[in-house]
Amino acid sequence: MPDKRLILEVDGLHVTYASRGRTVHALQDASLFVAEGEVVGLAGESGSGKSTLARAVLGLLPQGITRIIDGRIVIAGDDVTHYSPRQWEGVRGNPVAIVFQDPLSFLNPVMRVGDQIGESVRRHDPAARTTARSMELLELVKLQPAVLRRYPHELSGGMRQRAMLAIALGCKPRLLIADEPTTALDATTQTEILALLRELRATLDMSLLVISHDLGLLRWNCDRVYVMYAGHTLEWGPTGDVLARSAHPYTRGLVDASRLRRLPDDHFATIGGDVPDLHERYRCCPFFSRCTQVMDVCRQQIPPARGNRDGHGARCWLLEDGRE
Amino acid sequence: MMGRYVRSRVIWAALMVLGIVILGFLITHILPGDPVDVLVGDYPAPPEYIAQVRHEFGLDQSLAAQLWLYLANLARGNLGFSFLNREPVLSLVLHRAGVTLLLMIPSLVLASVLGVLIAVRAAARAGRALDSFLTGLSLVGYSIPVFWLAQILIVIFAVQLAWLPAQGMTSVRSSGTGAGALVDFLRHLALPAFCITIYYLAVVARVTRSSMIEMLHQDFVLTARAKGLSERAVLWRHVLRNGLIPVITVIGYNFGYSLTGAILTETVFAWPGLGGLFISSISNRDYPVLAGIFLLAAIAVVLANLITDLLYAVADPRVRISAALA
Amino acid sequence: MTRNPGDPNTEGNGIRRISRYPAGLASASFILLLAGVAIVGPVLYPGDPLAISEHTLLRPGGAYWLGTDDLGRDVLAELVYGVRVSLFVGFVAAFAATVAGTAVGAIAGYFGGWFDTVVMRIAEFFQVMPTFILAVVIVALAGPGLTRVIAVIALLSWPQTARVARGEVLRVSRLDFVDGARCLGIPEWRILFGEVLPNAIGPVIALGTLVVGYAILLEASLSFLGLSSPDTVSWGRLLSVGQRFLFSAWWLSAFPGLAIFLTVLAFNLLGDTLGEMLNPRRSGN
Repeated sequence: MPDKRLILEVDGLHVTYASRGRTVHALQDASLFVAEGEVVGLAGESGSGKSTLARAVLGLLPQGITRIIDGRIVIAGDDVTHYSPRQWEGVRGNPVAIVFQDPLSFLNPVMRVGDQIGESVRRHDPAARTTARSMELLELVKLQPAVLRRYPHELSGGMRQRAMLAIALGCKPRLLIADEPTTALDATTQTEILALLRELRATLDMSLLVISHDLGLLRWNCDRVYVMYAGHTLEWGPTGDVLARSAHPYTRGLVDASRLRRLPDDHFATIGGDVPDLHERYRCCPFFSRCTQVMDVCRQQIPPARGNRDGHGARCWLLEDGRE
Repeated sequence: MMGRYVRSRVIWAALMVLGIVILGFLITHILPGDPVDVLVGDYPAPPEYIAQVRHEFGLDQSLAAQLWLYLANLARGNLGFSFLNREPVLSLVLHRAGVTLLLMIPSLVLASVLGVLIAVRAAARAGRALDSFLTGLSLVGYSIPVFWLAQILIVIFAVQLAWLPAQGMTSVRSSGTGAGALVDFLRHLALPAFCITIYYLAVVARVTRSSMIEMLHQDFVLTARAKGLSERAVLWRHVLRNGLIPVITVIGYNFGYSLTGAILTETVFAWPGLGGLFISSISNRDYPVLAGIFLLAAIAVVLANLITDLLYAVADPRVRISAALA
Repeated sequence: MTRNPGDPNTEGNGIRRISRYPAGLASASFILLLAGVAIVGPVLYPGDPLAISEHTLLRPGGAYWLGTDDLGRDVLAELVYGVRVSLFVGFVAAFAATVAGTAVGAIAGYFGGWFDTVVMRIAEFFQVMPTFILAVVIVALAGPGLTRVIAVIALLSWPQTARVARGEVLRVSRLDFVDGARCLGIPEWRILFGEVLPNAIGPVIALGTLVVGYAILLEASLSFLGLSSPDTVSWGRLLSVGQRFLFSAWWLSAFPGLAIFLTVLAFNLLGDTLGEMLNPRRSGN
C-alpha cells in the first residue's frame, strides 16, 4: 500500500466546538486514509463524529465555533489542516467532493437542478460546454435530461440524491465522500443508489469514502472500513476482517446488534450503557463505561494502536495482554 | 402551475375589492344620517343637484337597488362631486394621490435599498449590537406617532437650525424647472421622507438580516461551498437569492402601513397630496372625498399586495406548487 | 410552560425569570406609574384642565412646568387628564377586541369547517385594508365620541386577535392531552374552553397588550385630525393645537407627543416581553 498514492490522510485529528459556553470534543483521535481506487467505509453511530470528520476534511466546519486543536489532514500530499477559507476553495470539489444525506435541504430550492450542476461544471471544467456536460452528468447518474429544468422539490428522494451525485461528479473529484448516502431513502432506492455508486467508481476511477451507520451497507461495498466511537477511531482494516473477526469489543457489539443476534436469554444483542459525553476529554479508552470486558487499565490510560495502519488494527487494552 | 396560482390570487384580490366597495357602500348608506349628506357633503348645494343625486343613487329605492346603482356609478367612475374643491371626486383624489406617490415612492425605494445593503453587510458579521440597534429602531418607529415625529423634525431642522424647509413641496421663490427646481424639491422632500422611511428601513433591515443569517446556516450553502465556489459566489447566488425572498414580502405587505403614515406626515408638512385633502375634507365634512380616498387607498393596497404575491411566486418556485394545491 | 432541565431560560422561579427582561420590567413599571397618575391626577390638579386663563403661551418653567397653550391652559394638567383618556380607550378597546377575537378565533380553530374559512378570509380582509383611513371615515361620518372611537378601534382590531387565537388553538388541540380528554367523554365545548384555551392564551395576552398600544395610537391619530369631542382631553388633540404653534411654542407639541410615544412604546415593549415569556415554543437556544 505504501506505493499507492494517498488522496486523503487524517492523522489524530482533534476538533472542538463551543456550545452554550462549554466545549464539545467532537473528534478526539480520528485517523484514516484513503488511497487511489479504494472504497473505504467509515462506521459509527450518531455522535461518533463521522459527519464532523467528513466536514472537517473539506474545511466545512463552522468557522469561529470549531477549532482543530491537534492532528492533521493531508489531501493529495498537501497539509490542509489550517488552510484559510480562500485556500479551501481550491481543495473543495476537486480533488475531494462530498455528497450529503437528505438532499432536499442540501439543494438550493430556488435554483434549477441543471443550473446547480452547471455551477460545478463551470467551476471545475471551464473548458467544457456547460449544458452538454450537465446532460452527460445526468446520464451518468441515470436521470432524464428533463431534470435539468426541474426544481429540487419537484423530484423524488432518489432523484435528488442522484442529482447531488451529478453535482459532485461535475467537480471531477478523485475522492468522493458520501455522508450517509442512503439513510433518507427507502430500501429499494437505497440499493439503486449503491449500485450506481459502485458503477461510477469503476467507470470514473474515483475513490470512495462511504460514511454510514449501516454495517450491512459497508460490508457489501467497501474494501476497508474504520470504526469510530466518541470521536475516536477504535478499529480499522479490511472489511471482512473487521466485521467477522472484530478486535474491539465495541465493533463486536455493533456487529451483533446489526445482525439482530439473539442472546441465550432471548433478548436482542445491544450495547449497554449511555451514549458518551462529548464534553469530556478522554485520557483513557472512551468505551470503558460500556465495555463488557473492561479492565482497570482501560479507565486510566489511552490504549495504544495495535496492528499496522494498512492492515487490521485496533486500540484496545485487550490486545496488549495477548488476550484476543 | 404558475397560471393556477396567478388566477387564485387575482380572484381573491377581485373579491377583496368587491368587499371594499360594498364596505364603502355600507358606510355611506347605513350610518345614521341622510345618505345625501354623505354623497354631497356638508355644503349648501343647489336643490336640483340634491334631487339629481337622489335619483342617481336611487336613495328613494330599496337598499338592494341602491347598492346596484352605487356599483354602476362606481364602474362609471362617478364617486361624487366635491363642491369644496369644485372637482369630481375621482379626478381630485387621483391627482392628489399622484403627489403622495411622489413622496412615497422615493422614500420607500431609498428605505428598501438602504435597509438591504445595511443588513447584507452586517449579516456576515452577525453583530449583536447592530441587531439590538435595528430592533430598537423598528420598535421606536412602530411606537412613535408619525405626525409627532414630523413636528419634532420641523422644530429641530426647520425652526431651530433652519436647514430645511418646513412646509410644502416647492418654495414660492423656486425657479420651476432645471437643477434648481430639483434641489428645491429634494430639500422639501427630505424631512417628510425621513418620517416615512424610518420605520420601513428598520423593518426591512431587520428582516433581511435575520433572513440572511438563517440562510447562512442552511444546508444547501454547505453544498455550494463544498463545490469549491468562492465565498462571493456563495453569498450572491445562493444566500441572497434565497434570503431576499422574505424581504420582498415585507416590503410589499407594508405598503398599506406606509400609505397611512404618508398621509399623516403630509398633514404636518402641508405636502399637497392626499393628506391635505384628507384634513380639509374632515373639517369641511366633504364626505364624498373622504369615501373616495378610502376606496382608492384600499384598492391601491390590495393591488400592492397582489403584485407582492405575484413577485413572491416568481422568486420562490415552491410557492407556486403549494398555492396551487391549496 | 415546561421546565427544561439544564435550560437556563426556563428554570428558576418567576421572579428570577422576569428579571431577565429588563425592558419588560421597565415598561410595566412605567405603565403602573401612568395608572397611578390617572387615579391620583385629578387630586393633584383639581378643576377643569380645559379652563381658559390669561396666562397664554408661557414657556416651560416656573409655575407651569410644561408651559401653557394659547388659551392659557396648563400643559401638564392637560397631560395628566389625558392619561385617563388614553388608558381608558386603550384598555377597553383592547379588551373588547381581545375577547371577541379570541372567542371567534378559538371556535374557528377548534371546529374548523366553513366558519374557519370565513373567519380567516375576514381577518385577511381587515389586515389588508388601511384600517386607519377606514376609522377616520367612520368616525367622521358617525360623529366623534369616546364610545364610538372605542367601538371602531375594537371592530378593526379583533381580526388580528382572532388570527393568533386560532393559530394557537389549532396547535394546542393537536396535542395528545386533548385526545385524552375526549376519551374521557368530556364534551367538545368544555374541552375547548376548559383545556385548550387556557394553554393557548399566552400569545393572545401578549397580542392584547400590543393592541392597547395600537388603540392608544389610533385614538391619538383620530384626535389629531380633529375627530374627538372638544371636551375630551386627548393627547392627540393637544398635538393638533401644537401644530398651529410649531414655530413659536414648541413645548405644545413636544410634551404631549412624548407622552404618547412613551406610553405606546411601553405597551409595545411589554407586549413583546410577554410574547417571549409566554411563548410555548420557547426552549432556549
